Amino acid sequence: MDDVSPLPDVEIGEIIGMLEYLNDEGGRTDIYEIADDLNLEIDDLVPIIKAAEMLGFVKVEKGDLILLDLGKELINGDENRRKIIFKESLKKLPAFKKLINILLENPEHSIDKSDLLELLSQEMPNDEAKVTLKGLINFGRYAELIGYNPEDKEVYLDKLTEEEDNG
Amino acid sequence: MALLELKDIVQLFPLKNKEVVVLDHINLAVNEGEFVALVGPSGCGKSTLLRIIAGLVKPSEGAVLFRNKKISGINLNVSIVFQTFGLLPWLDVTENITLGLEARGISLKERLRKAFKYIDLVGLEGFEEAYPRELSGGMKQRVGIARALVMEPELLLMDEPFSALDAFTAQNLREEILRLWGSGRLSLKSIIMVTHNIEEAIYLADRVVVLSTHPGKIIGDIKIGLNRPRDRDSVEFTELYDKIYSMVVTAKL
Repeated sequence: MDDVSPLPDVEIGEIIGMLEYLNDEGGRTDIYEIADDLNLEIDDLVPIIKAAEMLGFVKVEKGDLILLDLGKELINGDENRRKIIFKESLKKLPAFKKLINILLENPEHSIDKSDLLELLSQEMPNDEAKVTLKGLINFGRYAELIGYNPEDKEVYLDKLTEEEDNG
Repeated sequence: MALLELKDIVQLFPLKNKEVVVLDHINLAVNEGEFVALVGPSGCGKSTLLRIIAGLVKPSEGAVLFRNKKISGINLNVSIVFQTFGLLPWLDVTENITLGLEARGISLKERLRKAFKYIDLVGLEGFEEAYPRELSGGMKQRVGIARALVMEPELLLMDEPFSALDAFTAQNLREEILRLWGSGRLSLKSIIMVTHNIEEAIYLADRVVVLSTHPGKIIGDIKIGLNRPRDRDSVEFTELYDKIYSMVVTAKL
């Protein structure tokens, strides 16, 4: 099993918004210029860049942020296509791989949120485990990879593969 | 034909010893197919004007006409998207979206059919049973947008819809609105958006209406003839920005 690295504390809308901004700038720009242009603290910008990089949407080269083909495909796609791209990228992340394995091993394909937090806490500091748990649920829900039932506080497997015909 | 017409709208606000004029003889016609932005400094009464259009506030003088008919009371052809989302925390996403339909006596089956259509359109699939506290600001505003669209209004009003969001999330939602607006899949004929962000107004709207403050008066009505997607760095964009910016600054003095 891969080492599970923490997920950055960002929202999907921030990632897509950044990709759209980057696309408007011609697909390549200085990182410090983004911060300057949008009045963002670099501490706020870095996690968004990190998340987009982990997902394979951008790469960083000599202080420049570069939009990759997958990132471009994402912003040009409709909502359904975006979710599929997210889903495929998420499935490659160690934290999601681990979660999917846990869910597949469980007969009901589900796990209590608190149990999942405990498992994550074995891999990383507690603060990061909390952020990672939040990310797993938010990103997973958006991509319809995993679901979360707020009544039972249970994380469950949604759809592992996607049929591209609904929409 | 104009979808919406404002005729000599005056709004007075009573103080202890005098009355303040908040809106001073506003005349405005919005045509079908138009996306209009109302910009102006804070205190120019632009949010009040939006509430008058929705029929939530009765103007002191003047009339609101929708398809040539005078509106009294709530205008059922209009929905509003609020800056602070206005979601009910004890209801989940689907329930928040269908609340207005329920109030109009629409059956549960039809409510859910419509809710899922708009949940799909605004990218909220997977969050159907989430509660507002579980959602980021951007996702909350998607719920706010779906809740407004599900009523299938002809006119959508947006009151500073992106100003409570961070820069990237706001940009993401602006693109979503343009995408929905251009998709032809909505009942919408026109949009009126209130914003203090001039760049946002030029980026999104077909027309920018500039209001002055104390009292709120229309001092400019500028057509934005740029093709979409718009390039904020283009000369034409910058010229419009300078023009409207100087109007807003002058209006404040």
